[in-house]
Amino acid sequence: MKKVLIFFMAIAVSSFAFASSETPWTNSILKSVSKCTATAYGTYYGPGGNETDVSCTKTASSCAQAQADAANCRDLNVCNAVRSFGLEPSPTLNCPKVSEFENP
Amino acid sequence: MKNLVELLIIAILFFFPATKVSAFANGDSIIKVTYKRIYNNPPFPESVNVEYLIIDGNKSFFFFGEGKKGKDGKISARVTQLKDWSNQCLYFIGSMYPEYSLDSYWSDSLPAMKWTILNQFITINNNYCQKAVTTFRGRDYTAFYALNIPIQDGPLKFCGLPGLIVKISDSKEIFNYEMSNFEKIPNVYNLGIGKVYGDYNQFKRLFKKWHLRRLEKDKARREADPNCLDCGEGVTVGYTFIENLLD
Repeated sequence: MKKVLIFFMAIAVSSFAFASSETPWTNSILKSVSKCTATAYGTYYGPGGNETDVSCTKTASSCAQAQADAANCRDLNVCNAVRSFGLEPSPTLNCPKVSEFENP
Repeated sequence: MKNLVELLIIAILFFFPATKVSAFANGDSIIKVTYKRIYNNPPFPESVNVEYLIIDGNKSFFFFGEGKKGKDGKISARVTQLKDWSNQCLYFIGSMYPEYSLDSYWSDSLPAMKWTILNQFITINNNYCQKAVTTFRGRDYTAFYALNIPIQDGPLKFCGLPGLIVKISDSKEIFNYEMSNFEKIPNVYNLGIGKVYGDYNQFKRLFKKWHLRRLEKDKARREADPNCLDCGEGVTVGYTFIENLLD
C-alpha cells in the first residue's frame, strides 16, 4: 500500500515539474499551438487584357512572419506572371499590386 | 408647343450623328475613345486602368497605356485587339512564353457575339443610350450603346451594336468599362499587330495546355523544395478572361 502511495506521489510531482518547466520541448509545443495564418492577394493585368489572380496563404509562428511570407510569395508570383508573358517586371507595369492582408 | 419639342428632339438626334460621323470624313484624323476600366474580382485587389480605342477608317485598335513616341513622332502601342471590318476579322494578342512571344496574335470572328437589344434607355455622359445584352463564351454582359454615335465598336472584343458601346459590364461586375472621352484628333498613331498564329479555338486549346504545364512545373518545384516560398502549399495562380477560357 505504501509502495502504491509513493508511486502516485512520484507521478504527481513529476507532472507538476514538467508543466512548470521551460524546457525547449515544452516551448516548441507552445509555439505550434500559437501559429498564425495570413493570406495575401495580388492581380496582374496581362498584355492580353486578362488578369492573373494570385493568392498566397502562409502559416508561421508569428502573425508578422506569416504576413511577410504571404506578401513575399504574392509578389514573387505576380512577377512570375509578368515573366510568363515574356515581360520583365518594371514600375510602369505596376507590378506588384498590393492588397490588404487577411488575418485569421 | 408639343410639336416644337418633338421637332427639337428630332433635330438633336440628327445633329449628333452628323457631327460624330463627320470625323470619319477626314482621312488625316482618327477617333480616339477613352475608356475607364475597373476590374473587381474579390478578394483580389481592384484595378483601375485607362484604355483607348482608336478608330481609323475600317480598322480599330484597342490598347492600354499611353504608348511610346517614336523618332517619327508617331505613337506606337501594344495593341490588344484589332478589329478589321474590311475582312470581317478580329485579332487579339495572346502570348504564351516562351513558345509564343509578346507579339503573338490570334484571329476571331467579327463580331464575336450576338446581341439582344432591349427597349430600355438611359443617358450616360450626355449620350442617349439603349441597353443590349449578350452571353459571350460563358459570361453574361450588359451594354449601353450611344444612339447618337453610330459606330459599331466598343472596348476589347465587344462590337456589333448600332452605336458605340459607352458602358459594358458582366453580370458579376468583374469587368467594367465606361467611356470617359470621345474626340476627333489628328492621326498621331502608328499602330499594328504581330504575327497571327491561329484562331480563337486554337488559342484556347494551347492556353489550357500552357497553363497546365505551368502548374506541373510548380508541382515539380514544390516536390524538390517543400519550403519553396512562391510554389508551396496555399499558392494559387488563376487567370480571368472576358471569356471563361479555362472552363
